[in-house]
Amino acid sequence: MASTNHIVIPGQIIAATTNEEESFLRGHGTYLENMDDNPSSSSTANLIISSNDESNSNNNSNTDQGDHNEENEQPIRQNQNLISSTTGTITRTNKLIQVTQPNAIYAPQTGDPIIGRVTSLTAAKWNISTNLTCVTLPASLPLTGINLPDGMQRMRTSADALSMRSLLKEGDIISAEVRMVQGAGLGGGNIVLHARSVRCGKLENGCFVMVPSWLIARRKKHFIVLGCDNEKGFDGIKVEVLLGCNGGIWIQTAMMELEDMEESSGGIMEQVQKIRNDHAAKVLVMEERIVLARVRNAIEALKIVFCRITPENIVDVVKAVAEFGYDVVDMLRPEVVLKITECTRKRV
Amino acid sequence: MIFLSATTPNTNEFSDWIGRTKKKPVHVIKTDYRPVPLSHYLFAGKKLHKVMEGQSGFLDKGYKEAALALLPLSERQKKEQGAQKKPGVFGGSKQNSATIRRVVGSSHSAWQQSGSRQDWNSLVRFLEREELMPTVVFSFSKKKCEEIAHMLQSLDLNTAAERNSAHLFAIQTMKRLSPKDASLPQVVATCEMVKRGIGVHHGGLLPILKEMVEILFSRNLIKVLFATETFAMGVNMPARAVVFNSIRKHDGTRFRTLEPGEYTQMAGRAGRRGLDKVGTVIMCCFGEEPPPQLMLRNMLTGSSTRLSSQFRLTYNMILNLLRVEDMTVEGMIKRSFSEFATQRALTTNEYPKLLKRGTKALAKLEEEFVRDADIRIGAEDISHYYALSFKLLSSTSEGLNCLLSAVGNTAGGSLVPGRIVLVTSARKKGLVRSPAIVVQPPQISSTTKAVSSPAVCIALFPNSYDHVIDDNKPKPKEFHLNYIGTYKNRKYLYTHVELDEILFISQIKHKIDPRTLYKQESSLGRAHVGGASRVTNSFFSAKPMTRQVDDFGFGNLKARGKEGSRTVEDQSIEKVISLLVEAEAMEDSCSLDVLPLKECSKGGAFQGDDAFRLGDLSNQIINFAAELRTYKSHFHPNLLKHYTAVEKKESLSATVTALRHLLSNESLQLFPDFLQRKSLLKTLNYIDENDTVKVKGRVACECNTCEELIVTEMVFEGLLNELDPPEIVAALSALIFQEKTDVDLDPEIPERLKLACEAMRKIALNLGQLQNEHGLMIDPLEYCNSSLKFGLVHVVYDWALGVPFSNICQLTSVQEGSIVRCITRLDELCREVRNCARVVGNPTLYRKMEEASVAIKRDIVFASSLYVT
Repeated sequence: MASTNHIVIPGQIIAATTNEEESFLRGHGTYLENMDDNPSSSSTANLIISSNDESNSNNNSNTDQGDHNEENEQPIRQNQNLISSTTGTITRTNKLIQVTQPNAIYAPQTGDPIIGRVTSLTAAKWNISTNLTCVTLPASLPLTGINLPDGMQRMRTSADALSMRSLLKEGDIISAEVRMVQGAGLGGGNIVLHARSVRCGKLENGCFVMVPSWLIARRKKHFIVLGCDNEKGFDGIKVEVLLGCNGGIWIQTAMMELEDMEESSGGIMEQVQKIRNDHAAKVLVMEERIVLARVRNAIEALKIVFCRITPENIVDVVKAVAEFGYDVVDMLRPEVVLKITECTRKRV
Repeated sequence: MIFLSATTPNTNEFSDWIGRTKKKPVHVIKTDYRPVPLSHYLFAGKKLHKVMEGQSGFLDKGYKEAALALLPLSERQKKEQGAQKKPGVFGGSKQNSATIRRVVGSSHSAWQQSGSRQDWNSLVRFLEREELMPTVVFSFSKKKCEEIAHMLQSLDLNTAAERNSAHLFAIQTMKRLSPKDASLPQVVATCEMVKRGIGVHHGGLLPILKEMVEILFSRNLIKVLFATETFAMGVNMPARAVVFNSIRKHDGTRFRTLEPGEYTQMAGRAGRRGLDKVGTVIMCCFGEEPPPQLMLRNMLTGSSTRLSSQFRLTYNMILNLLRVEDMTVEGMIKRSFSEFATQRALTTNEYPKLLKRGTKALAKLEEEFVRDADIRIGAEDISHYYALSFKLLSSTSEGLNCLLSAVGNTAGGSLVPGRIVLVTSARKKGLVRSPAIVVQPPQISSTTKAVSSPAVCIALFPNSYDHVIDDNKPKPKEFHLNYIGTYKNRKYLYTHVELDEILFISQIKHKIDPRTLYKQESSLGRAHVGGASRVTNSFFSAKPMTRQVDDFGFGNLKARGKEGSRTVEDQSIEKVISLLVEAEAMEDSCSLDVLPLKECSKGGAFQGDDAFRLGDLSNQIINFAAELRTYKSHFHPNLLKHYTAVEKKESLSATVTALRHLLSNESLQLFPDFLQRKSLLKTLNYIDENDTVKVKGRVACECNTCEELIVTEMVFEGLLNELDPPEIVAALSALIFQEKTDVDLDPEIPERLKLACEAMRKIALNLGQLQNEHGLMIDPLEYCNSSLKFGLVHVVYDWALGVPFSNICQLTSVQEGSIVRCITRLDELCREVRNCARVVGNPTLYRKMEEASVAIKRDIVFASSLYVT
């Protein structure tokens, strides 16, 4: 039995059932094959797919196509091999064996924060593109999934549907949360978003960067504020970074915290709306722009050297830039990139 | 949002909660009358007796009449049944019937307990005659509903035209069912009944029949409807009259009288707005006596049960909240209705502000303390000294408490007048390890065994005692409480000494005359003193203290006036002070011996382990006292000043800690529960150390219908992969089905399924065990038995294989409606497990679950609703 964190390549046998006790469960990135067959031949695997009319692409990746042999159709259990269909590491939970690709295309999970762009409007929903550089997964934000500007909770009327463009129009960048992954098949299809929480909604007056989604790991907090401790390179300016799980990153100057608002009348949503409007109308001064650009280029630099984009890494790079005294313009020159990301790369 | 309720008494609290969580104003509108007033009657002796009308309150007259009307009837019944029947002790139809059932046993069928065929026939005829139709008859078991309806076989309450339309509607309904299903005994019986204007409505009925009955009732084609409590909830189906078959029900654990709220809810069905002038509520009395008057009055006029939070943490909820960023479980608990009262108290009492002030003051004190380090030469160990003193004080206090409650006022001679004790109470009294002599032992209240009045002592101030604080004492009179005197440059104080101010008790005991030394205060003076000493506790004590400055001159004057003349009192006080000075010198040379408390316990009446505890404490006190003398601070001339500083700091820090705890998450009622559940999820690998949800957690998030942990473990153990779709649904049915049945596992099911069921049981037991180990109050066996009920495994298995409904009904005693409901919910679970398979990435299971879903979705179980089309 292969241990965890073991790297496998397509066609490699991960596990084999020889008796009743040693059973396992097939997960993402694997397929089952009878032992009698030629185990390493990928053509056999492909044959099985074509003979079976069902195509089952896991939503994890395009490459991990595989098929299974129906155990219940065979009264006598045959010895089977569990074979990896992709390159990646093995994760084992109880009897489930999965192969996780290190650079898989974004697979949405409920609760993921994402940053996307409104592509079009249809009846009572906005279509959102979640992956701006790679294959686009269809995602949509229904009209019922946002808070109305007046903060009322009510049925959405056709008048609301008509004035949708006043809330979000094509090209707007929004942060939202994955509510569910719809779709009848295994492949998962449509991502349904919602933007009800106070942190979600239209993003304005900031800067957008797209990175491969696998550079962003799921973490407890995706909406982070940098420069709180007056680190070098931030010049005392607080920068808010929104790390979308789909690879979208939004950078803006930090908005006022909700707790800091005085207990004025009106609900939370009105206050949030006010903060957002204030932020959108704010004119950025030169210093703020420079810091934002520095953070933006720090993220780009990390992307170039394939480093995980975490708050700590971003802060490290920004600090390094300040220490070496590079201009924002020069940050993305190859030799500079290597220099400023040196400590981050070493850590990996 | 609009919330409607007829039975909630604590509306204001509830609306306050909504308003606070939503941050929106909430308007509460109350109407204190019913548009259609209700009249409550007892049905006795074939007549109605009014017991309450509208808002009038309980009518005793009607009750007495009813009781009277029942008497001859009861005698007749006695004649008929002879010795078989014993009258109930305090009456009540239900009480009676319970006795009947017990005594009569098998010879009579159970329906006798709530009226015979004759009784019911006459009641229904009566209702018809008095034009009280349509009527809802509430009885609290499905069985009884059916039985009473069957008793009325000979009745026909519909006119020919009504019968026709009812019949037509029934035929239309049956068209939705397959011919085989339409010939089910329940269907046939119900259709026959509705034609005659009689209906039954309870959970055991097939959903489509339930709907048919509801619709017919609302069209006034059913005149008498026998229903369970569920009919009163939610659906808007009023009637002209409501009849209670009994006023006791079984609530799952025991038989009890109806709550006033439940009664109101059900009685409220009577009286249709715009159709009836009055709603009639009738309680049947078929026994010999009406229900006890007190019980009845309470039920009719009592206030309903308060709305209380049923908020429970489930694993599903925890996991769902953990994977969403801007909501925390703690926040969720905080906003729940159960925590509302405490949370509101916290914000209104301005605890946060208090905490802020306390923290600031504490920081300042600590800063000062550090700054003053250089003046504490020779007393550098003062902090440790304080800690040890504190321990010693609490040990002594506990020991003395033990002694006092067991031996009496003098604590076995340890606190007799003349005893020398060492007292420490720096901030309140300015005493640190000061010798004091007891002049009056503490008083114990005879009932609570607690100290009602503390001991009175004369204590010697330390040499370093600061004169300034002295000025603020109120009205001290010589030989009275709180008097501060001077003798040979030493100051002494008459004071109450609490038990937790005594450092230890010495072995020295002198002979003194308490009466010459101490004069009782008048009650007025004592109250004054008590008030003053109480305020010194809190940390804003300055104000009340300074107010008393004016009094000082007078008291001091008086004290000075007495100087010069030497009386008996003066002589004895001189003697006492010299004794105290002597004791102080002994302590300085470490020769003041500690009195072991256990020696005083002779003849004491100890409770439980108190005697052993006292022995421990006694040794502890001796050890602590010895250790205390090893500190340099103990002998420091300026001990009082340093000690006061530390005490001030420490007590403030204790207050701040307490406040902080009160405001923190830890003080939430459900917080420990949450932590336990979270640690369990961690051990089971549902979440990682950073509380990020892992694969297992995401699978568990998909399951909402039943015990999510069991399903997840089943999936991850590969249990379902081994089975065929029909076997999978059959196994899953154990998680859905909730009713009690006597059959456990049918022996006729295939071997593989049996094994799977056993494996499920093992998983559940394991989970129960684990939860128990993590501190949750769960009994593994009980958890297993309550979450897994294998009563319908065989039924569902056959159903999934395509056996007709009429056949599977014969496999079990479970009523048709319950089976249908179970299978409907099972379909939901199938979909959830299918989604689990998607999360896991296992197409085999995914397809199997789809097949399973298709297999159970057929015929009567998934017949379309009458309301929809």
